[in-house]
Amino acid sequence: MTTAADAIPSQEVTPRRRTVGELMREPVLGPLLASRFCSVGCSVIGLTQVWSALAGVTIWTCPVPRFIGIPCPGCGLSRAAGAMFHGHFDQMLHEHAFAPFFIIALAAFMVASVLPTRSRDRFAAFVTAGERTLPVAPTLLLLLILYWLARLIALLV
Amino acid sequence: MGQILGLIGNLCSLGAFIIAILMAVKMFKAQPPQIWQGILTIICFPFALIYSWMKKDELGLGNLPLLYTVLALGGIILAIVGASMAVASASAGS
Repeated sequence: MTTAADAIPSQEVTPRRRTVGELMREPVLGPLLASRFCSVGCSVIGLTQVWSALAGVTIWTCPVPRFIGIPCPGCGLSRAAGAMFHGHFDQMLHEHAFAPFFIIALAAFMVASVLPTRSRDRFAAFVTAGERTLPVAPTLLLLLILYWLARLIALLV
Repeated sequence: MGQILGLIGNLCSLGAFIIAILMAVKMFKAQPPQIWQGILTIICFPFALIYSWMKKDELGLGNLPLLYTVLALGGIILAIVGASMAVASASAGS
């Protein structure tokens, strides 16, 4: 006696590969803002980094230059943010040109961490919808990688 | 004593660094791959501290987030304590 399970052969469903367009329009910041744990955590870490740069205190040193000897893509962001707050924009550009975007993201996390749940969800949904329209975060991350490679080449040459 | 604590702190930081790389690899290998989150982990290692706890079950990280947290915070605390002790002993000696 055949059953329904025998009639339909089981097939392993392999996940469909995303296209480049789908990958670029994948929301990055929005889903993180929707989580209060993530928003509070990133706010605390970001504010601690900026405060330590402003105060000239070293709390955490990046392991990449310490153990590998080359700067990581994010090295200099805290110092650049500190320089930006002091109004030294030329020093900010020298340390890391992407500091303004880091500050904007930090501000978004700070806002999301204090908003009530419904407002935070609406804020996160707004950012997610924006990211599906304009691939800002993926573009910035790719540009950051290119910027890091350019700085590495300049360092090695 | 301060130097020993500093050395242990460095070892903890190295362990945390290796675990962060492992977690980033798991993010790249996930289905669907979490490429942007993996890149963010490499750009900003403290981000891994938050994201790994959020996606611990989804990515199958097991005890990696706990190990990473202990090693990262331990490395920071031991480095600060070690440096303070080294400065204190240097100023006491001078």
